[in-house]
Amino acid sequence: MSTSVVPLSVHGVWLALPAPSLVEILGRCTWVPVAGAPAELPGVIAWRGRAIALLDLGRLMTGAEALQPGESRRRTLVVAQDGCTLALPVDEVREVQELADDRVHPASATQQRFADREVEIDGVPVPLLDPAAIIGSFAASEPAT
Amino acid sequence: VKFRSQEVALLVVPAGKVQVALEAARVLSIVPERTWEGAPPLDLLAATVGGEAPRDSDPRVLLLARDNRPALPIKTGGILHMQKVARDAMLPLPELLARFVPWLSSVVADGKTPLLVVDCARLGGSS
Repeated sequence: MSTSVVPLSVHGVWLALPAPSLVEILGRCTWVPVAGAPAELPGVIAWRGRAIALLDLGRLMTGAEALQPGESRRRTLVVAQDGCTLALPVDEVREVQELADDRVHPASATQQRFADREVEIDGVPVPLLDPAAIIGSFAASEPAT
Repeated sequence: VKFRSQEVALLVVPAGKVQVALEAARVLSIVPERTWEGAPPLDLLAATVGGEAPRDSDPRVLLLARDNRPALPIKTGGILHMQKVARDAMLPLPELLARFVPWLSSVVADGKTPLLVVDCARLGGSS
C-alpha cells in the first residue's frame, strides 16, 4: 500500500495534501472578498460556473501569512472533499509523490492544525493536511451573531 | 409556461472594492432620507459589507418588497446605478459560506468590480 500526496508551500511553509482530494491546479486567481465570512474562508472564486469558497492556508498554518484582499498566490488548488469544493491559493506545488506507508507517521516532528500525520519527502517531515477535518471544522462552527 | 428572463436587473450600490446589488424588481420606491417618514431604515452597507455610505452623498431610503413580509426600508448613499446581469453569471454562494453570510445570495465575478447580490428575503433578520 502507498499514499499519494501533493507537496505545496504557502509563504515558505511546506505541507502535503492527499492527492485524491485534488481536482485541478489553476494559476493565479482573483477572488471576491466576502464580508462576514470566517477569516480562514475570506471569499470566493468563480470556478466552472459556480462560486467556491477560498481557503486561506496562510490563516491556518503556523509560520504563514494571511492573504489580503486583492492579493493572490501563484497557484490555486481546487480541492474536493465530502461534497465540498474549496480553492486553496498556494505559492508552489510539486509533482505527486507516491509514498510507502512506512513514510507516513503520526505528527511528531511537525505541528500544524489539521495535520495529525506527517509524511517524509526527501527525508524531510512534512505535515499531511486533512481536508475532511478542515471542512468539518467549519461545518461544525457556529456563525458569529 | 412561464419563461424566466435570462437577465436580471440589479440596483448597484458602491461599497469600496466591491459593490452591493439588490434585485431591482424588489425596489418599490427611492426617496431622499430627509423626506422619509416611515420606520427607521436599515443601513444597507452596515448590515452587509460593514461599510458606510459616503459622507458627502445624499442618503436615500429604498423600500424593498419581501415575500410574505412587510416591505423593508433601507438606507444607502453613493451613486446608485442599474446593471443588467446574465442570470447564469450570478454564482450562488457555496453552502459552506452561506450560513456565515445569510444576507448574501450570489456573487458576480466577471473581472470588473465584483457584485455581492443581497438576498432581500433575509435582509433585516429572517423572522
